[in-house]
Amino acid sequence: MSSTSQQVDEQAAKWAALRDLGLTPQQEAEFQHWLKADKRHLGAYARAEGVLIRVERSHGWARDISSILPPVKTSPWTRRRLFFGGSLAAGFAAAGVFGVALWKKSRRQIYATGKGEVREILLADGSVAKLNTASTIEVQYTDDARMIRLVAGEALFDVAKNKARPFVVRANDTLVRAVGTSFTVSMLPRNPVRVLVKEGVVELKRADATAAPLRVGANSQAIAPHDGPIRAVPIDRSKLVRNLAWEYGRLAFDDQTLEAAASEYARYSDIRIVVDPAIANKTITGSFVSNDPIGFARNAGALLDLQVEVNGREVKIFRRSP
Amino acid sequence: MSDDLSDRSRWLAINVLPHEALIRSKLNDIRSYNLDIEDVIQETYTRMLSVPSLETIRHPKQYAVKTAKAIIIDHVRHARVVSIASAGRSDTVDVPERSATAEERLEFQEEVAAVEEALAALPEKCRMTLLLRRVEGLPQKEVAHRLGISEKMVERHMTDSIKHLIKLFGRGRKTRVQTSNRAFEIGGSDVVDKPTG
Repeated sequence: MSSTSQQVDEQAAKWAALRDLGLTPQQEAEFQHWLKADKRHLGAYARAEGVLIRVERSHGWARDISSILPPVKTSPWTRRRLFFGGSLAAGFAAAGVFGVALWKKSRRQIYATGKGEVREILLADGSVAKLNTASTIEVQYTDDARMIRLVAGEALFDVAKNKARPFVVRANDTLVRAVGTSFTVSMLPRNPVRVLVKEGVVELKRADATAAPLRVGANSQAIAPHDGPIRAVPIDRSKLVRNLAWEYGRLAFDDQTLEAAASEYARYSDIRIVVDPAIANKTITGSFVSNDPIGFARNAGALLDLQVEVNGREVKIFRRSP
Repeated sequence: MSDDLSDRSRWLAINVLPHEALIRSKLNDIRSYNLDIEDVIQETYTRMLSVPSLETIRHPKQYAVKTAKAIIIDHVRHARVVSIASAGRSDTVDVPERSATAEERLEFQEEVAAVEEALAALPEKCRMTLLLRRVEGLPQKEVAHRLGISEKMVERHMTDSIKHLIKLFGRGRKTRVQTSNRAFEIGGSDVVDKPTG
């Protein structure tokens, strides 16, 4: 072996630094050559870059967490009040605890949608939030961080890249940190918090957890049940796309039972779809306008040869009488 | 930077590097072979990262120890180097642990503490450069401007920070190694740890 392990580490450190700062094409060629020149080089390099990754990853979280959450020992009551402050007074109280820097320039803004409504909000940093039906978010931007709280429903975030200001969405006790990406967070009644990642990578973590964040890449989803660990669940691209059809004001079903479709529509409209139990298991496939349950029922009726009856704020689907 | 090499470095940073001190402690018998443990660690990482798919490595820590031991044996036998392709077959070294409870995951809190501790041990300029660049994500020029140093010095401080941290992390934290060690024994006892040739 020509060079000592010490020298190899020094070369690796130098390459990791240079690569972090950006290589010229010529340097890139030299780097590739160096990587192959010795069987220790790749490993030494990965460790050198790994050092940077460890710092970025854990220091970033240390800061996010300490800036948005109180120390572990506070009571649940204090914790609840401190996060995004239940009131202005709570905000000041929090400022007292953590120093004023984070809070003094922050302003809270609330955006909400009614049933059947989809709303696109351009945020101050160029990120876009799209709210699905009956959803509410609270936006709080500071110099250091971009905090969003999903109060109810479902929202899609297209996040503008900015390493210096982490973009963190909180839904119940789940924190979702974006690493420059497009993803949805949903929090629906009787369902666990769910995150769908369309592009890029997000990291999920319980607000008070000490375990490592779960990293979830594009075309996957993560589920955060209230009584179990956060886990990644694979999802295929076509299903992901269907799940995001609401973005364009549509609901997409693939072999969905009428029963399930009806309960999905209940999120979008006060007009109730009532499915006769005898046909509740009949399935439907297709894309339908999300805030038009009557239109959906008529389509379903035509497709499956069923009878449809509209009575005020209720639409019934049942078997056609012979 | 999201190329394959960086993805692999990230995998290493998350799954293996926090345990480096522990892995090192498992290779104590190396001294009798007159080998440099640092060479072995570097080569171990090269071999691990040369596996076609890192996802097939289900127990990175154990895998690292076993790979390192295999490398030691190779050197002792004067068998030059096993080709990367054959060394990378995960079925030969990645044995499942005996019980699911033995799956010992380093608490992220400890990782945060380890990183903070190491950062605190860096020279001030190095630490500032590293944080501005890597955590704040500022361009080289801006880092230089903020610290009142030349861009060349930014590069120097970055390099020095990495060098220091490789050493600091490699040494590990005293409190952690002890506790991790016990859980580790459970899965790692069927290692071939004596050269046969």
